[in-house]
Amino acid sequence: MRGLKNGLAAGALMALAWAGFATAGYAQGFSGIWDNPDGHLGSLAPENLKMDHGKAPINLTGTWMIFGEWRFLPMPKLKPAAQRLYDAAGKAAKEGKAFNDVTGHCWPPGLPIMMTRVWPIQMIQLPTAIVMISNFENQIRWVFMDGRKHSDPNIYVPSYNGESIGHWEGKTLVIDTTNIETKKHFIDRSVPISDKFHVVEYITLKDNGNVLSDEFHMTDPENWEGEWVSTKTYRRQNTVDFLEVHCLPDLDEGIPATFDQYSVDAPAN
Amino acid sequence: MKKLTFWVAAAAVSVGMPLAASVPALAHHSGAAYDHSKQTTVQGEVKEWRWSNPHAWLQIYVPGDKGNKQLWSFEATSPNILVKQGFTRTGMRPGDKIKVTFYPLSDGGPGGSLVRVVKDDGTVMGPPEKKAQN
Repeated sequence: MRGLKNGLAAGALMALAWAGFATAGYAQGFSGIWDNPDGHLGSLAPENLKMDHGKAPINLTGTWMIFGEWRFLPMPKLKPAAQRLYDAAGKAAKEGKAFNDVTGHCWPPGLPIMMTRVWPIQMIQLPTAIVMISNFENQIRWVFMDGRKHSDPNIYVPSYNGESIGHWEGKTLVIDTTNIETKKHFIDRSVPISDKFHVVEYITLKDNGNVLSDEFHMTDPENWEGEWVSTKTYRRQNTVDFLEVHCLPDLDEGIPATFDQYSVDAPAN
Repeated sequence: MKKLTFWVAAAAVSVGMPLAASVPALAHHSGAAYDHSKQTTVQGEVKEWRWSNPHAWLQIYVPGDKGNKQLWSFEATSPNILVKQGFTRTGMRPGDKIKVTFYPLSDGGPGGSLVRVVKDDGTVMGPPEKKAQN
């Protein structure tokens, strides 16, 4: 009986403590809890925006649509395990089945596939960051341009589009991306990535700023040899605005290609 | 010229998708299950026309030989593209009698990739028959 009373009392105290914390938190706007772990100024902080980050040589702001080849060709020499998955994906396709069709089950496509869905991409360029939004499921990436370094991978939560840091080399935007989530994250035909996956992009504008070229240099010593290099090209779209696009839980109810009998999932990843 | 470009692009996508193997660019999923080398038709009654992004989809009841009815499912592309082909959100209602033209599932399963709908009042939604078969 005494145990029950003590338990009830302790519970009441904990509830009061939580209520006090929550009340104080709301009163203060939970200030501080979402601060960058390293204390870096946010990319939209007025103080950061006013700093001298150098003059940008080109302006990527606009809406862009990929054209031409969307596959990441030419393929690199894959390591044996990755090659087996790649071959299995090709075999499944010939048999009329999807293989590791993770985006079909609402997993994010991740970098670099996020940049090659046949949906427009909006880019918003600020002095401190370039925000890229793919209309395909509202995928977003932030390319920080304010001189920060990559986060400590022991702290950073790996993300499907990774942590992107950019800088200018002449009229080329160079983006270095690391800290990329590996789970159910594939490139091209089911090529997996490891936590050593690293992407460097070289972005330039051509044709009076109406054509954007993004040259991907991808390395992952666990899955392929050397650099996997492929260039994607985009045209400016001036009559496009975005609607929300979500992969909702019931999206696949009427899409037979996503039904179990037409899908093969590899055990890895 | 704009129209021609659209249909050329549509034809290129319809031919290119089966070659694209496991990651079709336009869809949110693989298109490997569909046979894009042929189109076929089926008639039935609308169960649901889901007007959503990234895909719309259609489900119909198709009458069987023994008085039963079977549920067929058809994926469509994005509404942004569908409106340019004459589809609308309210263009099909549950119970509407329709004829559906589609790229079939390779194994002959009940469904496919939607191409065109003709309602029993003659309304056509989707690319014109002649151009789609180029």
